[in-house]
Amino acid sequence: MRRFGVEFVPQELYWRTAFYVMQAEKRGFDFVWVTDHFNNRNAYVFLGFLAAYTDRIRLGLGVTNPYLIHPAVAAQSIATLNDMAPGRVVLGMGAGDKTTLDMVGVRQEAPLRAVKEAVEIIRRFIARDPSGFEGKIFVKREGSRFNFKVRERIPIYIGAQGPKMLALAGRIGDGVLINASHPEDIRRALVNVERGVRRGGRSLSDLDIAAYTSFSVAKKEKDARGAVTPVVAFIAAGCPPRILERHEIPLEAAEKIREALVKRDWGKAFSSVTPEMIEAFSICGTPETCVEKVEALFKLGITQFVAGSPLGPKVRESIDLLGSEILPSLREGD
Amino acid sequence: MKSRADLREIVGRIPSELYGDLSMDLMDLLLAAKKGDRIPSSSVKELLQLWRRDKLDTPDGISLLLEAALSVDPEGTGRLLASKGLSEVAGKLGLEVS
Repeated sequence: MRRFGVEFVPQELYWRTAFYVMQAEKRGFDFVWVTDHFNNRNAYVFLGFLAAYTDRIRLGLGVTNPYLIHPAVAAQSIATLNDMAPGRVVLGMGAGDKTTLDMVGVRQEAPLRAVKEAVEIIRRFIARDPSGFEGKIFVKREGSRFNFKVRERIPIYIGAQGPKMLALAGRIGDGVLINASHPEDIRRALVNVERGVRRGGRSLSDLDIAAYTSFSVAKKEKDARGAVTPVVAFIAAGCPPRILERHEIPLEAAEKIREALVKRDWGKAFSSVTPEMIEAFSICGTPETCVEKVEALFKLGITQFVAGSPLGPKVRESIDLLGSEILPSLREGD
Repeated sequence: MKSRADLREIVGRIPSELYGDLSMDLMDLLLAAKKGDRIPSSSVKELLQLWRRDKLDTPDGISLLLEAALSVDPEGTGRLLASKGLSEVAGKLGLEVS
């Protein structure tokens, strides 16, 4: 079954984002994913607010990390959230954003191990399992458990981009949030997820496989491109060389953007974004174009499409376009 | 600042067929307003509750939206009402419409 998610960065006033989430729920989205960076509004607190103002949509951390939020606290937070929205909570767990972690002096040590151990500990706490866990990074002492019950199972998705994290997601995740928009990147990611699935003795159908895209839709192609350009600038600037090469984007072009961003020269940075970069790092265009591009991802094997930031030049209108023109067409192909 | 009862009375002058578009246009104004943090949290919660129940396009919803819009962008509210042919309503709200 095809699922549809929407991502929000809790940067705006809480009630504005809540308005959009409620709109997305009315328009048929199944999941909302709220990003978790310390320099934005707090994702867990915000999801608590959303739990009270929504009825059906599933509420996801998209994604948290074990470096700033200890697994025991992440488990406690999602368990509490589950009290407010029973059966609607999902946890996205990833290695965090190195740049953001650096800002507060936190080292992104052994990301694979950190994520793996965090997931293990969270699952044990949610299950009220009193057994101990002696990881290399995280520890859960024998006898430690919550003083309250968690009635529902809380799925854990792994946010991944690199081959090893993708494979880990395939091995231990209830789902994977693949940070990519281009079919070739998704295709390669799926190979790695499948590798992990096999290693874990599981089947791909055990996982919800989500393409976590940068997305922009508008009635006019030009407007959609204009909205997605700043997001693409940041993606291109932080992109590993091997991925730039895969998309035939000159390393110097990405470097030029990176330098401009460091100097906060937005004009230069954004005007240096090329159509090839937009093509590689986003799904963008009119509703018809977007349907075509997302359909291609479903055909590759994803089971959830996540429309990520910026959504479009006017978020409310873009959610309406998604709900009225894009999701119905994509559901038909299910 | 007009009371909620005064606003309700003024909203009564707006043709109900305009409620749908007007509610979303007012909401767009609030979503874009630079001073959006000035709206009291009690009003915000009331707005979201009405939105949840699809009641923003009712006299209660329009009154609340107008109250919030007046607090963050009176000029923009006046222009919006005038663009909808509601200059008289704008005048009743004490807004100058050029």
